[in-house]
Amino acid sequence: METNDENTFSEMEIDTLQEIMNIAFGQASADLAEVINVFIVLSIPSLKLKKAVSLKEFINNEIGNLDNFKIVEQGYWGKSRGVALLAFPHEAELELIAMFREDTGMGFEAESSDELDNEMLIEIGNILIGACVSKMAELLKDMVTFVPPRVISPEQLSEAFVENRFESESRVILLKTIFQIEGRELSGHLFLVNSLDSIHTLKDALREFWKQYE
Amino acid sequence: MIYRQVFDVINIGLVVLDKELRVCYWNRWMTKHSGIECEEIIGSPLLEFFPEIDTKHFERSMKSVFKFGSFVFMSQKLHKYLFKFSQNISGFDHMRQSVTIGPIREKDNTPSHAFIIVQDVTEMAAYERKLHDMSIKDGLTGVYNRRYLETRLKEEFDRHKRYCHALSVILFDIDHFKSVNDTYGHQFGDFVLKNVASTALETLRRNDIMARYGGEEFCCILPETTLNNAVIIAERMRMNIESKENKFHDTSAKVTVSLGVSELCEVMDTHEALLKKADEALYTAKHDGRNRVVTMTQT
Amino acid sequence: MITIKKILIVDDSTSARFFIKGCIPKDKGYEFFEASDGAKGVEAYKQVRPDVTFMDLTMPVMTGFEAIEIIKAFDPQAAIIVLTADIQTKTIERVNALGITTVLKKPPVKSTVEEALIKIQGI
Repeated sequence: METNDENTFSEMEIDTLQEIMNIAFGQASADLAEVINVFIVLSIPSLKLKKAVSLKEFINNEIGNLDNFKIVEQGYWGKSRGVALLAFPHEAELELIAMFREDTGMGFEAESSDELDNEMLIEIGNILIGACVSKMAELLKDMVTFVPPRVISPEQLSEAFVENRFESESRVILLKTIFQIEGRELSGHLFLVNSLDSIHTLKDALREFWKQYE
Repeated sequence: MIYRQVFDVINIGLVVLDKELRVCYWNRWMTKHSGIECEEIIGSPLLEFFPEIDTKHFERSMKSVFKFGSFVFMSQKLHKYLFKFSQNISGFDHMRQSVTIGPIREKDNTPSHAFIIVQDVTEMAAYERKLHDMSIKDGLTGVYNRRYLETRLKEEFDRHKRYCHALSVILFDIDHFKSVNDTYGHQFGDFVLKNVASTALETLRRNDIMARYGGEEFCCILPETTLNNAVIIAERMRMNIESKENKFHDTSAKVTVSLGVSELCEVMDTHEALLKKADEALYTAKHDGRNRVVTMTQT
Repeated sequence: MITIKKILIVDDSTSARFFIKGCIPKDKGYEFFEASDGAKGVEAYKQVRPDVTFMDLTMPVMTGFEAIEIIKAFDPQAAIIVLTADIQTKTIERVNALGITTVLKKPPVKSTVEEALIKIQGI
């Protein structure tokens, strides 16, 4: 595969990444159906390179009224560092929680229901994010480790949030897909934000992937 | 072997399972808390020793560890614990645990085993509970504070409005409280506040929520309650408080309260509107001579 | 028995088309044709009349499902291999309903692609 500039991606590399994402998310949905008894439809993923500092603006543009959303955030690292953001609109959140409760039949000793709802969202987020990120890593022969996820509000997606994770002027790879629960009016957005610190390792992984077909 | 010694002295539980969920490793911490020796359990299915773990959630977790190589984080808030171990911090039946489950991979990267890490977080849970209580309760009377009330009122308002269920509010205030303070001193005043709060609380039902709203003002949220029933409760509350003798050292006095009652109706857009109606009714009760229950004016 | 000479690959991703080609034996003298969406795929099919067509499902302009329907109406004997990332049971059932029996999951693997080609040639 031709790669000239070592600090950015060629069109072909982006196309390959997109295809790998496509495959990863396809496998993730099929496997998720087996793990959680729910059919999850993942839309064709899109990929963009953006400045880290414009993350919030980007997400806001993608999903519209961000304030109406709740976000599950989970950090992960393999050859590169990244953070997954799973955004549900408030109505979807409640339905999703109800659905998972039915499925698990878990008992609760509620002090504040809001807090438990958050914990529930965290578990759901952990499964969805884990499936998508792990499949992607598997195809790129990477191994990822996850940090416990947490719920954040849209306000927390501030500059400080970005600065704590990425160099704000640096660029990040933004992967995005919309997931939908089949048979229900229920959808959310999944963003994977990867640092480009290790662009070389990613390029190497892509080359490796290509080699299988050369 | 060196690692094994480390795993046996660390202060967390460590378990390794194979794909059939048979125990492959069981560290000393696990033995200490379960009473099950390593030799006893190794090679056996974990669920044979801990049938209570066999939940849908656990099954799902293990599937996602082996299928995706995902990590599973089980918070004590949602799950309390994975292994039912006893402990001795009061207020908790069993040890609260924070649990992480994750994959152990073969050379080809496929998960072949899973690890379970168990942390005892009971102490933290107790501390958190105390902090939580402090943040939502009024230090003097022990009933909820105003901030908590407002959050809950908003939640209940939204929920009841969505499902078109009845919701009422009682706002009440101790009559002439300033003169109680002036006559008997602040210490006695505080005692009266506590007494009134506990009498009112005894009159309420399990699902009602009561908070100290201001200096000598209290507010009660009555879910699934119509105006008529709320008035009955308010009246009972008024009588109970009126008849109660407040005895503190050698001082004794009776106090009365004025109460305003309101009910959620179609035209109200926010929880503030509901509260405002109760406040107006309370004002009328004061104005009309105190020690009485007044219902909101219908609109 | 069919002898394969011309192979049409319909996929919106350039790299995906490259991966498929990489899985097909190079010593057989096959002639490759490519199309980047369902509509172009249909057009190319009519022009080229390939012996076998590799078809992706999720594509812009026209999906693989639609393209297969049109091609099958035009040529009921068309040999089509679906190659998709969407491997949920439901999707596969839907493809089967269109008369397609060979569905491969992405990423393509040499051995399974070769097997599929052998099957089509009826050897």
